[in-house]
Order: sequence, then C-alpha cells, then structure tokens
Amino acid sequence: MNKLFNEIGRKFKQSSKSDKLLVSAGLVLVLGMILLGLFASFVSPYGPYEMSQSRLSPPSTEHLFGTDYLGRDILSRMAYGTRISLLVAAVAASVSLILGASLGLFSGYFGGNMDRVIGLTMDALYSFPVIVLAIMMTIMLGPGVTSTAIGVGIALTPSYYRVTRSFVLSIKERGFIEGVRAIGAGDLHIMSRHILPNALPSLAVLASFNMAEGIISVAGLGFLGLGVPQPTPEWGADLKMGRDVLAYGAWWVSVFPGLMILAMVLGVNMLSEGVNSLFKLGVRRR
Amino acid sequence: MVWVSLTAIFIVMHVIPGDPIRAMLGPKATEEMVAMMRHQLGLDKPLIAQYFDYLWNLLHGDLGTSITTRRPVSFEIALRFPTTLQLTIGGIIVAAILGIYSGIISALHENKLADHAARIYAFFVYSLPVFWLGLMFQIFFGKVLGILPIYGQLDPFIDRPRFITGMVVVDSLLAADLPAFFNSLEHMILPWLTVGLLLSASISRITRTNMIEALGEDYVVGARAKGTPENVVTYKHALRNALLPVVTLIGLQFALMLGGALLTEYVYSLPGMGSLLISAIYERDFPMTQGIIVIFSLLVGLVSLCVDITYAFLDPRIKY
Repeated sequence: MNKLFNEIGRKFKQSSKSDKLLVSAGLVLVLGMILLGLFASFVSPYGPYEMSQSRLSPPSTEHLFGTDYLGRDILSRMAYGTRISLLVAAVAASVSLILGASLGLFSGYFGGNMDRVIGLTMDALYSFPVIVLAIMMTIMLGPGVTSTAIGVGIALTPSYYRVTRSFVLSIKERGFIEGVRAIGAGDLHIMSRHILPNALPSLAVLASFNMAEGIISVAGLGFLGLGVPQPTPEWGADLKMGRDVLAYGAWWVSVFPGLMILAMVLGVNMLSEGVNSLFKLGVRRR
Repeated sequence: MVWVSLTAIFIVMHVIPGDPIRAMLGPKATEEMVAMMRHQLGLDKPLIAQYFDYLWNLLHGDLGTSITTRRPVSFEIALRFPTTLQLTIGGIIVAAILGIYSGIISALHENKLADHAARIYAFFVYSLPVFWLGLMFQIFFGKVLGILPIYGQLDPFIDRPRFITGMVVVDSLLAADLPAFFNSLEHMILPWLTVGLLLSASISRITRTNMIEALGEDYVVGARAKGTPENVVTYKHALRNALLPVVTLIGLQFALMLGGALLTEYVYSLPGMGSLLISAIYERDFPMTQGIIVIFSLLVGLVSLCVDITYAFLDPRIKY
C-alpha cells in the first residue's frame, strides 16, 4: 500500500501543471462532498424532514438556501442528500464493476460461443441510453433506493465488460501467463491473480468516470420521479420539487440541488480525468 | 444487432426475476387483478410462446394496444415521435455549430487562452446534468428576463397547424402560418439549446484533437506552401478531414442524445416520446412502456446504419 502511495506521489510530481490542478481540485471537491455527507448532522441547522412555518421562503440568514414547499430547510436536505446520492452512486458503480469485470474476464479468457453471446448482449445493452436502461430496471424492480442502484449499475455494466475483455485479450497470450500455466496454475488462479491485478488501474479510472455518470443517472431518475422516493432527501428528487414550484418563482428550490450535483460530478470528472492522464491509461468514457 | 437488442429488451422485461405487472399495479393490487392483467397481456403463456408472439407482432409493426388510451401503441408513438425528432435534429444542429466551432478555435490557438477557455467549457458542460440546465434556462430566460416561453410547443391561443410531418415548426411553415411558425420557434429555442449544449462538449473535444492532427499533416503544409489563404486551408483542407470522426461521434452519441432529449422533454413539457414513456410508466401502461423502449432501440440501430452511409459521402476513399 505504501509503495502505491509513493508511486502516486512520484507520478504527481512529474505531471504537468494542468494535470496537477485537475487532480487537486477534483480531490478537494470529492473529499469535501464525502465529508459533507459524513458530517451532515453537524453541518445542517435543521433535520432533513423537519418542517417549519415558513414555506417556500427565499434564502435568508435563518435558512441559508431557503425552504421548500413543506417548509423544510434546503441546506439540511442537501447535506443529508449527499449521503443517499453518494451511496446509491457508489453501489451502482460497484454492481457494474463486479458484473462487468467478471463477465469480461470470463468472456475474454475462455472465448468461444459464450464470448459471442455475452458480447452481443453487452453490445445491445451498450446501445441504450443509460437513463432508459435504468428506467427499465426500476420498472422491473419497483421504485426505491436498491432498485435505483441496481438499475443504474446494470446500465453501466457494458463499459467495464468492454475494457476488461479487451484487456484480457491483449494480455492472455503474453509470456508470463504461459509461464504460470506451465507450472500448473488453474484458470481461476490465473484470472484472479495474474490478469485482474493488471487491469485494475484502468478499471478504477473507468469506475470513477462511471461514478460521475451514475450520479447524474440517479439524479435523473429521481428527477423523473422514478428513483429514490420522497421524502428521502435525494438531489434529483428534490430538483423535481423545484421544477414543480418554479411557476411560483421559487428558484432556490431547484438551483441548489443542481449545484450539488454539478459540484459532485465536476469533482469526480476532474479527479478521474487527472488520474487518467497521470498514469497515461487512455481510458475513454462512454 | 437489432434482433439482439430486441431480444435483450424481451429478456429484461420478461425473464429477469421481478414482476413488472405487480410493480406497476402497486402493493394494493389483489392476486386476481394481477392474474387478470397478466392474462390480458398474454404474459401467462410459456416464455417461448411469449417470445415468438413478441417478435411476430414486431415484424408486423404491432406493438400492442395501450392500456390507458385503448389505441395501438404504434399510433400513439407516431403522434409523439415527430416532436422528439424535431428536438433531436435541432439539438444536433446547435451542438454541431457550438462544438465544431469551439473545437476549431481551440485547435487554431493550441495551448493559448482561447484553447483553455474552450476546454474548460467542454469539461464544465460535460458535468452538467441536462435536466438542471433546462431548469436554469427556464429561470433565467423565462422568469428573470421574461423573453422566452418555458413550457410547451405553442402559446395556448395559437391553433396547432394541421398534422403533416407532426413537427410543429415544419408544419406551420408548410401551412404558411407565420405567427405559429415564429411562436413555435420561440418555444423550441431553449430545448434546442439545452440538448445542443449537452452534446457540444464531446464534439468540441474531438474536433480539437482531430483538427490539431489534420493541421500538422503534409497536405496542409503543401497547401500553405503554394500560397493558399489560411482560411481556405483551415476550413477546406483541414476541417473536411477532421470532420469524419465527428460524424461518428454524433452517431455514437445519439443514444446519449435520446436520453438527454427524454429528460429535456420532461423539463419543457414537450409532448414527445420521452414524456410519453414517463407518463406510460406512471399510468402503469406495460405495452406502451415496452413499445417505446423497442422504438428507442430501433432508432439507435438505424442511426448507426446512417452513420456508416454518411461515411462514404464524406470520405470518397470508402466504398461499399
């Protein structure tokens, strides 16, 4: 682990100024968001479900971000919303990572008919807009936190599949794989101990790219009213509330959730873009 | 490929554990209601039979009958599709103008201020949630400045032109109904900008990379050497060669675009396929939901075919 950090530090020192800026700005934003989520109860002046008498009041010293139509403090809901949004996006990213990487590993390693079938299915999935796939999944599983996470996760799977599979194909004929096979290593051992570790850096960057897309998709589902149901504080669902009260001129209800999403996605994107060029991985986003 | 997509949809909607009918009818539905709905939709038959029914009906253009409106799903989609098409085409035009232009500026001033500005723009736009962008446009142009309408396709007191193509902008022009034409244009400005901005980021990035590459090629040096004006070199020699990957990208991003259009329609209350899909889900209209998703996937397939054909036009070296 220590070696890894040293390596990252070395790469960081060698990198160009703009890359340094990207990585540090991204890191600050992402860490800030994670801290905000962790310490939501300290940051927020009110509870996320606590209603007050002042409904739809504009930002003031009492309510920094204003209140929504039920008189709930928007700042508090945003802080608590960080938890849900990050959690759902992280679960989605893990689902797609595990599913995509293992399918890609098997498909690329064994080849043959199974490779063809999985490949075609993944190509078909890849051609869908992520949000439509996620909608399909939530239709199947019913709305809720878990189904949103699984839905977005499955929708993002094909990109991991592609990266892993092409990686396996490029590496499996190399000498060291043949070497371990010659001393009697089994297929599973080769895949898990010799191929996967080599693919990990690319997968990690892809995961963070997808994390950004996941956050947007989760929020998009919430915005359409198909994601995390109310009254759970979630940025997308809160944004939908903002849309509904826009006619009354209550801009603050929709401005702040969007800014939160933007800050988070921007942070994740900057970080992953920076790391990508730092390590010259050449991972491309969807 | 299309067949695989269709099969994938079938698998997702029918085979994967989970019960759309129960999910759609909600927790209060009784066993009898669920069973009745299943029987009505033919979902109680064996899977293989369902699969062949589904493919057979699709081959005949039959997407089933909507539960809520009792009209064929294909009819409903045909009514709504032009609006989505109008939104997407306009969006692509906006995106191409913004993206290609900012990409060229970026490439011509590589690593200078304009380049950095264009790259930051692309990065920023890439991280924008499209639905929020739409809302912000509504607040700024509709509420603060009050210069543009923020909902729908036409003002309520203007008659909708006769249905010819279904695209209100085109229909009003064809009917020579100028007030309706300008009114509908006004209504489309914000949605077009919203969808266009979303796509312009990646177009800008790829135009930049390809222009930089093209500007370094021998034929550009050659053209400059024989005294061709710089403008002609940029736009005729370099740009034409740099455009090919851009076309691919627009094709590849079409899926992203459809997703963006879906959310944009919802924001601006445009009666397109996206809002149809969402209301179908809300109204628990299973055949309609499935039909729209099928059409979405067919569209994506069709577009990738079109991209391949456009290739041959842009690059005479490719022949089929």
